Amino acid sequence: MKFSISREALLRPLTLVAGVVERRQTLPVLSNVLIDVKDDSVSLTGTDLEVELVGRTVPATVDVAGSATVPARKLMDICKSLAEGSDITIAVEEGRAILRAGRSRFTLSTLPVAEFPNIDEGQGEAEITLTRGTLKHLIDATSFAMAQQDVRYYLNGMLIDLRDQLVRAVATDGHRLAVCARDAEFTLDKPFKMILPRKGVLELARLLDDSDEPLTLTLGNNHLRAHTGNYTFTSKLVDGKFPDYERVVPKGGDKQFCADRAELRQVLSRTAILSNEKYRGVRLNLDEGNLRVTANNPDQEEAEENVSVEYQGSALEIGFNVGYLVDVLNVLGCEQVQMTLSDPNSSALLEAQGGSDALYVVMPMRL
Amino acid sequence: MDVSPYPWQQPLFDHFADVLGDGRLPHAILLTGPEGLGKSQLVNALSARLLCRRAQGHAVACGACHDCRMLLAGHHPDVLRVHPADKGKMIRVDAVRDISAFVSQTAQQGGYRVIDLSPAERMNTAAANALLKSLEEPGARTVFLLSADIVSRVMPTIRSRCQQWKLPLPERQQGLEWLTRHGDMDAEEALFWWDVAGGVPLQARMLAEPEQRRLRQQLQDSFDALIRGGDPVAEAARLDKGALGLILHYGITWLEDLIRLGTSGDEAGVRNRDLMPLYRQAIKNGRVRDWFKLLDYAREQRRLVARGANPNPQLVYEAWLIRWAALLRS
Repeated sequence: MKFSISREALLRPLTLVAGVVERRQTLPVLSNVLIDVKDDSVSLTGTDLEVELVGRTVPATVDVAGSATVPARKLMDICKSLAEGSDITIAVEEGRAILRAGRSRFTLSTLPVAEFPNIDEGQGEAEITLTRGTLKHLIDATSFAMAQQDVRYYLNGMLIDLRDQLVRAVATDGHRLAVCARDAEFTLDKPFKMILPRKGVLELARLLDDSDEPLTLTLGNNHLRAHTGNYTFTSKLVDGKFPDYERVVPKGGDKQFCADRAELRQVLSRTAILSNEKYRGVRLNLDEGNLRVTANNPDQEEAEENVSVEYQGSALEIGFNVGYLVDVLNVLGCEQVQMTLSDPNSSALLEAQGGSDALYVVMPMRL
Repeated sequence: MDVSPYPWQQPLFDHFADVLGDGRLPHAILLTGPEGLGKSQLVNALSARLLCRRAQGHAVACGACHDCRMLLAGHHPDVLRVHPADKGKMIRVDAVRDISAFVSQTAQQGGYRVIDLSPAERMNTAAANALLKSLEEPGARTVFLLSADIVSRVMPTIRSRCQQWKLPLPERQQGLEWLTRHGDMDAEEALFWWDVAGGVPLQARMLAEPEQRRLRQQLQDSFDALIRGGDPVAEAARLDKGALGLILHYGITWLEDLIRLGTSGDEAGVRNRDLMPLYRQAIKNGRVRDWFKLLDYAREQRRLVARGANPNPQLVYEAWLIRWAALLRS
């Protein structure tokens, strides 16, 4: 293998790929990046066995095609510290990778390519195309609700629920649920459901932006693969069945109020200071036109806030974990938030006023 | 790394390949049989067969595909090996939680997921309980390969979730051939060590290693000294503290020899033929009931060692040799 490339062309994909490679690795080969040189392209592959990222770039010249694995972080640090605009030549000689740039020369160790656990580019069951912006919106709107290291392992991820021309993302940790759905222009013969693990969701989000660039998802039984631009992202899936989330969304709530989102969020954040640090409970007293938020802690300290809301109906007192409410108010992008309640023991439904593509369910707390 | 099964395991491997080909593979297999039959080698062979994409029929693995190369390099992403942290220690619940995490996600390479757990009887109660849920109903294309030296010590709830495959003892001729070829010994030596190990090939090869021979010789010297009236406590102090398990093993097989010889008088059944003088001396003095008592004691100690109870070796040697001395001189 021997090729030359400009520093910038190598550094951009390398930084992203090296981001997947974890610092502390159990297997030596996992701290390496696989460099595969074809006639007119160079691809870089990094993996932590859960997610894999392939970045492609264009070399200046290719003398000998081939492949090698070299330490990812060291290669990135070397490239970063070289002068801007340098031309880099990488060659493998006698099992060592030699990097030359100007008057610098670095010799890096390599490991056998055949031992690198990259995933073969297999055929998926189906393929759909979305825009990067759509997927980013779905992830941003729901990812906060994913469980973290829950024994119900199927909650440690995000459900991607695909139907013809509709994509829906669902995340829950058993206390709150986030659902976001978007229309998209693709056709699918049969509905497809998969649970993308937490790590995969977070890594995938790093690759996305708000643009309308196309993104191709390859759906398989073992993997989800996303192609966009010069990157291919592959993640394992959670091998389990996601709970029936549609049953959890409360129906028939009769006490509905609207409030200014930013104001309500600030009110809740302030009262949260004096809530019990462990349980984070706040009490909401809903009256006509007014919402009183109170909290107290074991030291008998108390916070009380009043915020005006649009509400007509009977009074209601209900408790919530304030963190869950603030999380929802943080991701809702609207001016006015609408909250639907029925009684102190039933869950609350939060969404943008008049409804939008995302809705959130938060379980109440008995105070 | 050689992944082919030992010759005496070939029928079992072929059976495995057949049920795999027919799509009748159980999700959990518990391989049972005494230590020294090469269970871990069979597990390696089975894992290689499951992961190799090309192997057909009774072949083990192609050795050339991507999966084989990763396995041969010692780290296939879809194999999880769970063993005690140190030899003689228990498998703890943390290691078993790794299994739960491993089976909760799909295979990285998209093929089988293989969990190699051994020895299964070394899981402590919490670990075994933590395994039940994953073992009961794993996802598709997940195979648990458990092995146990002493199957009765594996929790019944684990046993009932696995298909038990008993490893056969090799045929004498086949075993001797293997021993002469792979144990660096001639036919006569092979025959001797084969008998000493009771027909367990890897055990025979291990016992024939120079260091193990020395230990055996030392133990034999101690027994000779006891017959001549040596002090059991002084003899016990000379024994290697780290080799408690093996010394107990020798003691038990010698006692078994003695009981066999003492009750039947038939020399053909004796496994340690070089110890005949010692046995004759012991038979002259001992009573069968005392031998059985001693056997019970040694087995109890061995059970404690196997359970990880970590008894004080010095005390065990002393108590044991004092009993031997009383028996040899009575």
